Amino acid sequence: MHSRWSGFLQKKGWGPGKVRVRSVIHLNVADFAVEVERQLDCRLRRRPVIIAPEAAVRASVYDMSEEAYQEGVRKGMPLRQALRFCSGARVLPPHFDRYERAMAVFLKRVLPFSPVIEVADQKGHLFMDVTGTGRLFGPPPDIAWRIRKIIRSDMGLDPIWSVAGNKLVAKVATRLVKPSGEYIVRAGDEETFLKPLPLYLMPGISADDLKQLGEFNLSLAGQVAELSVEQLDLIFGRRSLILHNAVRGIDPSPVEPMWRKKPVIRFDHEFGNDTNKEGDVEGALYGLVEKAGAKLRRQRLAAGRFRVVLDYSDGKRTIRHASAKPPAADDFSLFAASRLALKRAWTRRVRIRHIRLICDRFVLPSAQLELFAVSRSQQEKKERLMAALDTIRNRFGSDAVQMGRMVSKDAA
Amino acid sequence: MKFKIKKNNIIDVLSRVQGITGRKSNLAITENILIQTKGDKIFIAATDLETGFEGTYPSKIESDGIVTINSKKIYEIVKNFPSDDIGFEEVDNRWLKIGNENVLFNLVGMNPDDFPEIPHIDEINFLNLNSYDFKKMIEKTVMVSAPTEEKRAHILGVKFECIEDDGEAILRMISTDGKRLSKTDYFNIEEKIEISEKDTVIIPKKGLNEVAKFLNHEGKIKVGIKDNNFIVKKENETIIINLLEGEFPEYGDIISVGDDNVIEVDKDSFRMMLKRMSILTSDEYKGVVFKFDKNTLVVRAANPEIGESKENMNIDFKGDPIEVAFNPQFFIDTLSFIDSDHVFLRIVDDEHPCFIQGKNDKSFLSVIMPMKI
Repeated sequence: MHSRWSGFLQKKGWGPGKVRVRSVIHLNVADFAVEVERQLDCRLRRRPVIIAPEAAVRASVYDMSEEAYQEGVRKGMPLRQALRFCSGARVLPPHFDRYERAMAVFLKRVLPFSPVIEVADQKGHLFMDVTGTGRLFGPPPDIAWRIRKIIRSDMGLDPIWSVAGNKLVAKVATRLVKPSGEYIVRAGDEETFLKPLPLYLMPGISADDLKQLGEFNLSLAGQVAELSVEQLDLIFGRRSLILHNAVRGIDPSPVEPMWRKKPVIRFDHEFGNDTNKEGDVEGALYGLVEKAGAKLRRQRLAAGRFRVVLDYSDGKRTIRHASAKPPAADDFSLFAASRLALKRAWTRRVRIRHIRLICDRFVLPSAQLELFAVSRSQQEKKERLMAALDTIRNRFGSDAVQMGRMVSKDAA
Repeated sequence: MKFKIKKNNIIDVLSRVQGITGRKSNLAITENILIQTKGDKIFIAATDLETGFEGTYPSKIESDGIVTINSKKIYEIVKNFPSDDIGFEEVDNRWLKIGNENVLFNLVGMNPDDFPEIPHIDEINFLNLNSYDFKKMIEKTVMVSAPTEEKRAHILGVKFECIEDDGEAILRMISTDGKRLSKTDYFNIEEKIEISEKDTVIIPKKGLNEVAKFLNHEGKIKVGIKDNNFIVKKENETIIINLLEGEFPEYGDIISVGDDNVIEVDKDSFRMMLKRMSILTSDEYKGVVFKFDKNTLVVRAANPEIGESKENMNIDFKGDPIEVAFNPQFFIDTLSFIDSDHVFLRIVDDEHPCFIQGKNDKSFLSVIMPMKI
């Protein structure tokens, strides 16, 4: 009995002294922003495209197509320089809301295959830990292949995929096959796989590290892998262990599932006509505050931090935050903190297209009673007013009662 | 300007003015101290535009003059200077040479004419107080600190008033953060002084913190109020604080002790119990629940993210059971400033404050509001 079980467990990778091999899939839609724009406008296909806030002074490249990349355009490059390299490129302003919506759909398609999915950024990168899902969905390459097929048919995007034992190696593998393709790195082959690859492909190795390594004529992962930690320590100090592990393909960091991230409350407002009128923007912000406040009160929470994201007409985005001390859930305190964040974010005269309010750092509302009767009655008054507004809105709809600042002057 | 001074004569004052000169203000020169020769002494002044300091110290003057020099740098130089005698000499363009034949520093100063003027106070009706007692009063009130973002005067400052109770003049200081209140009295003052037209003023807690640094454990000091300034005077040192504009809420009803349960507890046992209970509290779960019931006090702490704790204490309590939540840190802060071995807790119910007073110390009363359970 014992031998039969141990044989079965060993076969499944659960034998004594054995550790189940991790399987991480990395999905990457290359040039994500450009690909999303191309789905909306087919004329952009097969021609160089640069995503950059064109009207902005000293605009820099947010993303570019493979055609533009081949001409020498790089992310973060000044737009003027990029256009000198690739004069025929079509320049589009960034539409962050579109990319976020596309990312949400991308994630939705992937979710059925694993509960452990890390959204690395909003630019088409996902890590999935599919360890132990073999009996459900088959081997990891099959899962990746099926996801690619689904994304292609549902979204028209063509993600690159790779399967490896950890996030670092999986990411290097997708970088290697960019702009399209797939790569499987078998468990135990990490160091051999990385050996001939240039160091700039390694995540976690900074530009400063590359420069310093270049001074020692080290340009390949295999060359650095021959050095001991002690030798690296002489040059890189505390970063020596990171480098030592990176070039050997060692990365114990887990795939951080989305549900482990701190919760946030987020509401958006898209202006019908782009505007830079203070009243309109503050009115819209107050509307978002009311929604966020109602949600916080329903959940019996108070928020400590408020972030305002402004998308300008020219595609530029600014994000600033402000704190509420103590954390609050009433609309007045929420608006005071949010308006401060808005003031910090609103530094340009360009019209605003879209505003977003993000509340986080949730705590339970303060249970401490006030000492002075005046403060206590003010607090109680505020709570009663909020409760009355919530009751009216729950029964008759959110527009049943509105603050004066929400009523536009034209309507008045 | 040229003078020599003993390291011990200047090191203490330089250390204590760091709190004033270390604060950010709109003027860069407030990071400096002003040094001026006066007869056989040097005069040192520092200000952050709210709190001003002046002091005179003996030294060997060779020539007169005036300089302003970075406070932090001069303190570090003096602190680390290898010998007891330190020479100061002003050279061209507001440069100051500090050192002796072996060690020499050249520091650049600023124009002394730009140094903010500290109000000059003529003789006023000062109140003579014991330095140690006044220091204790300050410590008991400023422990109720104000959050950095607070703007209300009654939270930022301490109410200072001179009252008469049964024909006895009392100097009273009251501090609050809106959730607790600290009241401390100074009995046996020689006479009631005229504080202002309203007989009550609010002194910033920040300034009082600086005053406490200058108060010794022995000796007498003088305190007084003139125009918009609170003045504390020692033999050779004076601190002047700008008063806050604002009203302090009526506190008479809050501190009036009514028909409530008085419970005597051993101070150290009670404090240690609360310290143990506060181990499981966090920013989100600050409260612990006190249950007073039939000669027993049960304190419970529950934090869903960490766990729970419970501790019993025998007390003399015969009233109806009371269950009330408090922030234990408020009690711990208060108990550390009570000199008596035993304290009285006066408790009414879960909506009214708890009063804490030392058994043998009637001068200090702490009032703490409960939390909603």
